[in-house]
Amino acid sequence: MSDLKKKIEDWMVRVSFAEADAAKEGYQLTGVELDHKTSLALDRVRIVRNERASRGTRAHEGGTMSEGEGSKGQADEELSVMILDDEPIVGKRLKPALEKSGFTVEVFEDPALALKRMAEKEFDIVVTDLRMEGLDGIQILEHVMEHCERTRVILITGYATVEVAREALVKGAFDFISKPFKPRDLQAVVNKAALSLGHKAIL
Amino acid sequence: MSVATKAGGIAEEPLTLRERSPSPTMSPTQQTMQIVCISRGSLSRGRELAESLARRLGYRVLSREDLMEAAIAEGIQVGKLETSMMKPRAFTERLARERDHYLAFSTAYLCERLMEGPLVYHGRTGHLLLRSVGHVLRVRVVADEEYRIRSTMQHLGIDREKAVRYLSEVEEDRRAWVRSMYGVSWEDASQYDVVVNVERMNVDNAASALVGMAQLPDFQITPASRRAMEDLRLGAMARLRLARDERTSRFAFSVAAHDGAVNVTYLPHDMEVAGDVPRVLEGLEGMGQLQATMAATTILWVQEAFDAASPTFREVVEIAGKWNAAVELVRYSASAEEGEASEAGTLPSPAPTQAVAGIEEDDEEDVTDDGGLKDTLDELARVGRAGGGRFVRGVPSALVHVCCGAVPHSLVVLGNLFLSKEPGTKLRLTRELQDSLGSRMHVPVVTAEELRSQYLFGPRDAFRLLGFLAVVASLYVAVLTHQDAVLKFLAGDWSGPGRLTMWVVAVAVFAFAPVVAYIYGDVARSLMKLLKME
Repeated sequence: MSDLKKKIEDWMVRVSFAEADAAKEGYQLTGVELDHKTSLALDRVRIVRNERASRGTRAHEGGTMSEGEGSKGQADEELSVMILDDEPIVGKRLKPALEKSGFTVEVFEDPALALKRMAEKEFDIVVTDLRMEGLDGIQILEHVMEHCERTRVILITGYATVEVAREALVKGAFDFISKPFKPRDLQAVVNKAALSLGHKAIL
Repeated sequence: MSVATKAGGIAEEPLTLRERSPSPTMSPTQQTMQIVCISRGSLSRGRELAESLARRLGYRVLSREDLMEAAIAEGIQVGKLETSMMKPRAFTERLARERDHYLAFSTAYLCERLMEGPLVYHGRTGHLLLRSVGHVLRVRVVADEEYRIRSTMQHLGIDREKAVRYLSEVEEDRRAWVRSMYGVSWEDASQYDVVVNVERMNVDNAASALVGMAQLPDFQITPASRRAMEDLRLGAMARLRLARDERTSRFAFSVAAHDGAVNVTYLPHDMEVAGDVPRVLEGLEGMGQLQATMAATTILWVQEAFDAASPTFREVVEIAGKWNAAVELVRYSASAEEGEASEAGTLPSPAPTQAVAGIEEDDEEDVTDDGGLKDTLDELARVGRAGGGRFVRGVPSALVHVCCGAVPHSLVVLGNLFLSKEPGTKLRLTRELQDSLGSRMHVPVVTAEELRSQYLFGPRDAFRLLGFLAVVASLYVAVLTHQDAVLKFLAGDWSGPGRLTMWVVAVAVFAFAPVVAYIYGDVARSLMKLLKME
């Protein structure tokens, strides 16, 4: 595990450099760019809230991991994730996997209800399907970017083309994940998004 | 589902491919099987051009989007294939099988639609799917950068900076797609018969000009191009059957058809599947004869820790590309202690998994360090050179035993081995292993350094060859054109004291012969290397 710990710390340093590079180029760092820099198994960590990061500070220096730092934290210390997919089985399968990583998860099948909930609560991460009846994933992404730029949006889709995926990324999505995937793959992407917000990883 | 747009109407057509020969009752128009393939970039008005051209020619239109819908209905993970172009590390051996499936399906689908009547296809690479068919009119359409930026801004509702970034990244992903799928450059002008710039020409005028081109005798079907298309379709149908059948879906095959005879080539480490190939392909419509053969060339690469980003990886892949060979990996870890039991195993071929609503079951978490074996194998799969992976732990004789199995190899490369040993011991053990493998396998066994010096011919070698060749040629020319002066010099017939003359001649001959021999030898060695490489 100490090797993994070292890798994650190294990764955090790389993120801060990559983020600075992206900022110089005038855009936000995405999960795709992070993939070029690491093959880390991020599905094996638990995430806890870092208060500095929650206040909006991109504090990677304060976001390093603390091995063995407590067991499962209190609900108010956990990061919140919204899963939005019109197929009920998706939320049912993904919720336990993300809860295992230390997130509080709310599942929605109706995009309109999800938007209503977003108006009440600011989620740290939104995982949304791309193709849905009514509102699609890109519209959800645009809505989130308009109201809370800090929220990380991850799109899941079975019909991705490079054009759609790139459109999502230039519009501010953090990453996308193509179906079929394993819950562990999503766990890794969500953890990556949480770490990029400056939160802490626990092995 | 609508899959083809007729000029002026939508045709409802089944998405499933039928394994059948072209119908003998086709109408004369259908029998022409004419096709124009338009390769388009993002928002470059290729769709408009295709529709205008189809209207003028009375052909049907088929788009890449139609093809993708059909491929998704077939169960191919098109989305994963597409996005793996953006995330290179996401490409796995399993995805390589999806790629084979996609290529076979797309080829068969396009041939099927073409046999139903003449077509204008617009997408990225229709012309590359039909590479062996001679009468395809291959058009590349390009548009003004400014027009594309403005259209992107309007279409996606983003600012200029983002539009520029979007276009540049999408183009790069498409380049990667074409490289990964077909091994060629998308922008290579030799892939096209005509490039249309819609910045300088109205789309309708461009379509009118292309009507004339499409009617040229060069783009009319000939008996040879019809035969080529039927063979292409037959080969694609055979590959598709192998991809659809669970007995053969996990394995890599290369399939070609010629005059109704189908030749299926499988990798040496997949020899257990050889018996299933005739069973799976039995009764394939149009197949006259079937031959299943094992690929003859495999390079065996033995190393303790693999890294797909290492120079040795690039060099092995370069040679495999030149020889059209697969690369088999063996991860060898020497026993840490005397008398430790040896163990060996094989990495299993990627097995298909069941997904519910696009979500698969998490498999057993494997956190053991495999020394980069799996990642390197995935990278080999991405470049189409994966030949399987094995691991051996134990004494060198255990490795020799595993390497001398039933699979024939053409070359063995010994990379970094015995990493925990001192450099001197490491070198000695590697040499001993090299001798041992060489004497048992009867094929060249080289270290990574020897691979570089003996097999690879880079620009530096080319300059060296040309330089030394020039020196040798100049020497010969100088000697042959100044024979009298040379003979006079060797006979000592020149001014100077007698003893000094003798010594000067002796020293000159003594120095000249080995220098020429060295230079001449270097030229011969470089030429041999070039031949070996090619």
